[in-house]
Amino acid sequence: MLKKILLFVFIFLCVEKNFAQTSRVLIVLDGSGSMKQKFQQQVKFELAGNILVSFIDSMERTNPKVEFALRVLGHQSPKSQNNCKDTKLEVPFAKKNSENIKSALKRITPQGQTPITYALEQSLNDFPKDSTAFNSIILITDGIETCGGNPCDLAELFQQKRIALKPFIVGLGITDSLKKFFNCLGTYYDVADENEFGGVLNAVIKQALNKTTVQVNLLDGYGIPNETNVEMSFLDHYSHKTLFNFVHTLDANGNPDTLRLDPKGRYDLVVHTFPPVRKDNIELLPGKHNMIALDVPQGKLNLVIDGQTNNYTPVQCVVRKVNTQEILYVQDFNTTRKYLAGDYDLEILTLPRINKYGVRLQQAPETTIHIPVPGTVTLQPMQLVVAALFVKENNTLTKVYDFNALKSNTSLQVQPGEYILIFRPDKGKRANLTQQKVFTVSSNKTTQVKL
Amino acid sequence: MRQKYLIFILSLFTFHVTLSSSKCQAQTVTPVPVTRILFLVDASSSMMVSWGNEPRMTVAKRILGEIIDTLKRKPNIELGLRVYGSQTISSMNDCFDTKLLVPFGADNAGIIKQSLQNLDPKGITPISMSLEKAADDFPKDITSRNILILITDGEESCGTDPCAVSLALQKSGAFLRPFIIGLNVDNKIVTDLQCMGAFFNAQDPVGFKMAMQQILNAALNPTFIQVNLLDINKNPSETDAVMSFYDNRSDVIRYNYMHTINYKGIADTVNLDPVSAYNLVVQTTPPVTVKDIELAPKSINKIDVPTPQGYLYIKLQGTTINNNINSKIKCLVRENDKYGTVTVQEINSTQKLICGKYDLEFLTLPRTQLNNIDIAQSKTTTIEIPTPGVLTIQKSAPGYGGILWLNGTEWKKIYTMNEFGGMETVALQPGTYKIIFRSKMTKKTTDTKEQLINITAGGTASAKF
Repeated sequence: MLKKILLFVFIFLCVEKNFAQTSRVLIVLDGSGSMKQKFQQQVKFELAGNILVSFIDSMERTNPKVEFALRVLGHQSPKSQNNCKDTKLEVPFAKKNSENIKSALKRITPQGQTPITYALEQSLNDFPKDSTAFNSIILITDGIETCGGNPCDLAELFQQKRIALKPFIVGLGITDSLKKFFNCLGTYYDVADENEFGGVLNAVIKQALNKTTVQVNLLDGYGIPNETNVEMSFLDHYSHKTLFNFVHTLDANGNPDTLRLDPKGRYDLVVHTFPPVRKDNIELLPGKHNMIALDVPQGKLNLVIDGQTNNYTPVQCVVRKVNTQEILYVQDFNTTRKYLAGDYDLEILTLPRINKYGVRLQQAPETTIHIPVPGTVTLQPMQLVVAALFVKENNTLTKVYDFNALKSNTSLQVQPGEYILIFRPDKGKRANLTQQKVFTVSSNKTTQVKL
Repeated sequence: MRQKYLIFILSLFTFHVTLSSSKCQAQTVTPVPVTRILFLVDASSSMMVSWGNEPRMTVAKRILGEIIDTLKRKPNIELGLRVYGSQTISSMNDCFDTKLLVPFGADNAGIIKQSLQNLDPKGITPISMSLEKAADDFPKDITSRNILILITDGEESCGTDPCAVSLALQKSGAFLRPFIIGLNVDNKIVTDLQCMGAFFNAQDPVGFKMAMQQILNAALNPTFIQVNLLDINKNPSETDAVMSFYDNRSDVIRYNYMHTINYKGIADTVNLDPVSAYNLVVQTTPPVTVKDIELAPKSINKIDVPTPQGYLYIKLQGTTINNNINSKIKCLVRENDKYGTVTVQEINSTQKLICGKYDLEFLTLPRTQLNNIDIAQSKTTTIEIPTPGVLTIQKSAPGYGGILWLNGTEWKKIYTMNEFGGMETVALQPGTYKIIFRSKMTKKTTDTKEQLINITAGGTASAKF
């Protein structure tokens, strides 16, 4: 009983470690000269700053898993200096950052250029290297890039790094050129008044924190998600790096277990059946329960040696898809393994080899291949002989073993069947001295052949 | 290997057959068998047509009579006589008109000659039916050489294909490749009949007698073959391979000889029955086949078979800590770019192979593939593969899982663990692996655990779950 309890505690810790992810929100705030302008009686920069600080403060109090950071652009050099690299991470990520952000905002006076693209590029390095965190950037600007950069060039990079970018444009009606500028980054928000700003900000951050869940349905031959207990890997679609490896599981109700995944970016899913099945470029709907279905009908191949064997090396069976050369798996006898439903060629490495072509594996019932227990041939040469052992099947001799020069007793384990040993004494050097011994080998029996 | 091989006839004089020595007889592959010759004679109405200055039937009776006289005193020979078309007139179209006039037995030459004399040709030509009945005329004796000689002046009358029937009966072992003598038949009939066996078209009575003598020459004398197994330089230096001679019609194995280079340093000759033609399989790895070898009787026939060979030696670069691992690392040997396993070789063994390019696949985990391995004449090609390390997986509970192998940048599953708890040992080639495991008891995917493992050559590693 104690053991069981310990195990569960351990599992619980594992979950905590891996899957209660931190959400990180980086605020990239425009501190350029234009942010000094007033919007509805308030300086835009102050308006944005005030809303942000109160929002961050309340968010941090209710959600311990969220961290904020602040990067500002265009605030260090006056506009006349044309500093297009004017951006700084003012407050790096940490827990309980609202006070730090508040005091940083107080120090800052908007003045310079608007290098939006450059600032976004720099912001990629602001996130700690922690692949499990959900990362977002909220860009707050009045919208005019003054340094000639194009944020569209960054869109793919953000996808790959799994960072959600939400641009907020404060205080302007959106012009067509601005639309074009931000369209490629996804949804942008045009903040027309103070209340709306707060509401939208709230909604966006909530979305970032919302649970996006995934259920992987491994469909059997009847289209029912009954297949399970197979390894599967979630890969990043862009970098092809493996993000998570799981053994697929059915929950207590017998349904595919639900996983929480970051909705940003794209995934590839590999189900490690033999052969593997994959689904590429999977996009998740944020905040939703996503179903990913793959057809992986599997059949069981049960390899059985009929009877007791002495404990020698297990007999191996090479499994290939029908009419192909590539080996899919090498399965030991007296084991059962699963393969995708279909037709397979089996090459059983007994002496002689047994080939079974086009063996069909299906959802049910399992396919069982029986082979008999081998027998033993003991050759007892009276003198040095040149010998080779053949199996006779349908009038055809197939070589089983080349003994070359044989002078002492030798044993070999072979499948039951009709055998012919063809040999010639080395002495004499005459082909007419060739002899053949025809004999039968039975399971678990020793056949002695005197030469 | 489907080249045509020329057969050289060295000489036509008689060789002493070594079988006659009683000491050797005990050791030879085939003891002297009884030869049973069944004459199947056409007695259809057309046999009354003149050939030269007498009816065909008269010619046949005379020449067959002479032949039977030469055979009657020979040891180990029995004769029989079957005829067709002798009982019912042709207008009745009796397709069952075939009769065993004289069954096999000792000292029946006189009865056969008498029966021939009494023949009165009148009917049609049911060749296929006669062949089928003839099959039962031979006593059940698997050691005898059953020879059928068909003498006919016409084609099959009853719509069946005598070639198909003949082939089926040869395959069933009823008789060896039959001899067929056409009595000056036209080209269409030649085409119809020659596929039955060894065919002779006698233009005239003299030709008929010569054909008969040629047939007996083959039927009563062994012949010899010298098989030269050529190395890459076309020298006959290869040897010690089993040669299996299959009857090329029936696919029955007639002889197995271990190829020998004798004390004179040349390929030793072996004797074969010239009644059959042969497919020769030289049991090298892979085997080399020469098809449709026709033999001249009472001769030394020579044939060249290129079988250049070298050796493949496979081993591990170091020693393993576990002997069981060695025996599991088998190597599948394939001819380069060809389908199908030629042989399966054990680690630390040497295999003789026909020279050429081979693809090797070692059943390591992951599998080790080496393509385009060259096997050269008389040389040993040594292939070493890294020694595997041993991973011990300790599972505190039954569960599901497997091993992923880092192949370049891709993780590929190479092994499925058993579902039992406890210890599982797996030999892995040097490399990077992830061991994935989830207990059977849990219902949560996120309870999956994984361990990153590096395996070094000959090293050990462990994963605990």
